[in-house]
Amino acid sequence: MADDNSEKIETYSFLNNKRAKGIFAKLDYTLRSGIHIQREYPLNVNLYRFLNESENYESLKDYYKDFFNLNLIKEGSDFNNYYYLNFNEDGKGKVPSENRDYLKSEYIIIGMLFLKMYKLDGNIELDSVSEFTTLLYEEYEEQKNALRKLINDNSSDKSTDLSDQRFETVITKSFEKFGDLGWLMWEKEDEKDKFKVMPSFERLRINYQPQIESIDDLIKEMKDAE
Amino acid sequence: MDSFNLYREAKDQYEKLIPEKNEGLILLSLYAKYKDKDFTEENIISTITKVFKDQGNESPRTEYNRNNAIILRFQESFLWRNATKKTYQFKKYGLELCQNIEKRLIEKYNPAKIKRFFAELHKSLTENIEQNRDFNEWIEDHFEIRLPELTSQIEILDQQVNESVKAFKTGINSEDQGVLDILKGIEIRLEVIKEQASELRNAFQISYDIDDLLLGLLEENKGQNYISNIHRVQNFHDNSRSQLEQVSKRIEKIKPRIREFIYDFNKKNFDRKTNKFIDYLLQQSVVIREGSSKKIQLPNNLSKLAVKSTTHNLRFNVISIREISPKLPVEVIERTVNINKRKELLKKTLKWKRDKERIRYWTNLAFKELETICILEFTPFFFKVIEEDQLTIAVKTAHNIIRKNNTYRNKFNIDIIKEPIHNTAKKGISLWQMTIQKK
Repeated sequence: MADDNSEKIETYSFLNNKRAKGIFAKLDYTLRSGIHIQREYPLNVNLYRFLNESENYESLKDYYKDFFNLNLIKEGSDFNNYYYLNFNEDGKGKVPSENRDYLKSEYIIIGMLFLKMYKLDGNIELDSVSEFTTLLYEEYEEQKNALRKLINDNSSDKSTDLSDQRFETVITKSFEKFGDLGWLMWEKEDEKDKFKVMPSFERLRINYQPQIESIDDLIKEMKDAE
Repeated sequence: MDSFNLYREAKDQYEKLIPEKNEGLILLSLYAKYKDKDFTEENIISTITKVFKDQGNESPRTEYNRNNAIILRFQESFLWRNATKKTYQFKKYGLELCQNIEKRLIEKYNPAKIKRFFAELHKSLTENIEQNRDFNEWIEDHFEIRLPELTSQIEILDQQVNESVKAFKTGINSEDQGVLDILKGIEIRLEVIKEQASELRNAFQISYDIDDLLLGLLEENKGQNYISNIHRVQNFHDNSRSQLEQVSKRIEKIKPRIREFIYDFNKKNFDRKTNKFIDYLLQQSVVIREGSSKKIQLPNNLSKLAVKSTTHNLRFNVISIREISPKLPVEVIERTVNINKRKELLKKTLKWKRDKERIRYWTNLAFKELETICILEFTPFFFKVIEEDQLTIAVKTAHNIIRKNNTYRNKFNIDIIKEPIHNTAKKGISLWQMTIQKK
C-alpha cells in the first residue's frame, strides 16, 4: 500500500507543503505524545487542517510507517473524524513493552461506563466529572459497586469514607487522562470538571470492536469453561 | 374579622371545600366538557367511570352506591341540581376552583405579556421620577407585583428544556419502533424553546431602559435611601438576562448531540452489545499482584491500549542559564502618579458624560416634537444635530431614538425611503430619508 502510494505521489510530499515548516514539529510532538487530533481539539486548528488534507495525511502515514513503524490512523466519519498514532504492536506478540504507556484498565472501564451513560443511555447533558460521579452513585449502583470492588480490591458492597475518596480520586484521574489524550476538552483547564466530549472518545469503543461484536460468544466460552 | 380563625373554620369544612384526588379529577373533567352549561346525571356517571378507569380503579360492576355518594357530595359545594329539569350545573365556587386550576396550568409562556409588563414598569417608574415620588412606592406598587410573573416565565422555559431532556432519555431507552420520530420531535421542540427564549430576551430589552432610569437616580444623588432596592432591581435584570442566555446556550449544546444520536441510530445493535461488554469487563476483570503493586487485569487477555511510547518521546534536559548564573539585583521600580494621564482620563470621562447628556437632550427633544405634532422628519433633525454637535452625537442619538422606539413598538411608525439626502453645509454626509410618525 505504502509502495503504491509512493509511486503515485511524491514520497513524503507533506515536507514540501508550504505550511510544513511552521506546523510539522508541533504536529509531530502532539501525535507522539498520544494526543488525538480533531476539528475542535487541540485548539490550534492548523494541526487538524494540515492532517485533513489527504495528500498530507497519506504521506505522513508513510513517513511514520517507514521510519518509526507506527500507524497514523484516521477514524470517525466526515465532520467527526480524528487522527492519532497507534502504538499498539500488531502481530508481534502481545508482550507489554516497558517503553509503552498503557491506559490503565480501570480507566478503560471508567471510559466505557462514561460512553454507556452518555451515548447509550442518553444522558445528553452529562458533561462534568462531578455529574458523572453523582450519576454513577445514584443510578448505576450495580456498576459502581463492581468497579469499586476492583479499584479498592475488596469484595464488599459496603464502603468507608476513605475508600470512597480513593475511588473518586481514580475517577478524577481517569478523566484527566482522557483530557490529556484529547478525548475530551476541558471548559476550564484549571478546574478540570466541566468538559466537552470529543469525537475521538469513540476510539475506546472501536479499539474493542471485535470483542464487542463477538461478546455473545465470549460469554458463552466463559460459561462453558466454568 | 380578627376573631375569624381560618384554620379552625377550614378544619371542619375541609372535605366540602377541597375534593379528594379522584373526585377533583372528575370535577375538572366535567368542567373541561361543560364549563357553565347544563349536564345530566348520566354525563356525571360516565365521567366517574372514565376517571376511575384511568386511575386504575376500574370495577367490573356499576358502583351505584359509590356514584351516588359522589354526586351527593358534589352538591354540597360544587354542583347545583335542577330537580325539575333533571340537570346539573357548576356552582360559583366549583366553577372558580376549576377555572383557577385551568388558569394556573395554561398560564405558560407569554412574551407579549412580559413586554407589556416591562413597558408598564418603565412608564410607572418614569412617572414616579418625574413627579418626585418615593421610589420605594414604585417598588411596592409595581415592581413587587410584576416580579413573580417575570421570574416564572424564565422558569417555564427552563422547565420545558428539562422535560425535553427527560423525554429524550426515555425515548432513547424505549424499544418503541417510532423512537426516531420521537427524537426528531424533541429536536424541533427545543428549537421552539430557543426561539421563545430569544423572544423573551427581546421582551427583556426594556429592562435596559429601566436600568438607565435607575442609574439616573443614582447619578443625581437621589438614590441614597433606595440603594438596596435599586440594586435589587438591577440584580433581577442582570440575573434574568443571564438566565435566558443560559437557556439558549443549554439548547445550543444539546441540539448537536441529539442530531448525533439520530445519525448513529442504526448502531443500536452495537450499542446493545457494548452494554454487555461493559458488564463483562466489570464482572470478569480481576486484581493481580505485580511485585509490590496491584493491578487490574481485563478478562481474556484483552489487548491493552497503548497511548504513548517513551521511545518516541525523548526527554530533553533543559538547563536554563538563569539557574546557573548569579542573581542580579532587581531594580526597584518607583511608582509615580502620571498627572497628565489622569487629566486625560478625567477629560475623557467628562466628555463621555457631556456626550451622554447631549444625546439625552436630543432624544428628548425628538420625542417631545413627536408627542406635540405627531410627526418627526428625522433627516433634517439629524443634520440639525450635526450643525450644533459632532457627528458621533448625531449617530448615537439616531441609535438611541430607534432603540427607544423599539420599546414602544406599538406607538410609532418609522418610514424609510432609501434615497440619500445630502446636507448643504456638510457635503460628505448623507442620510436616507426617515420619518417617524405617531400612530
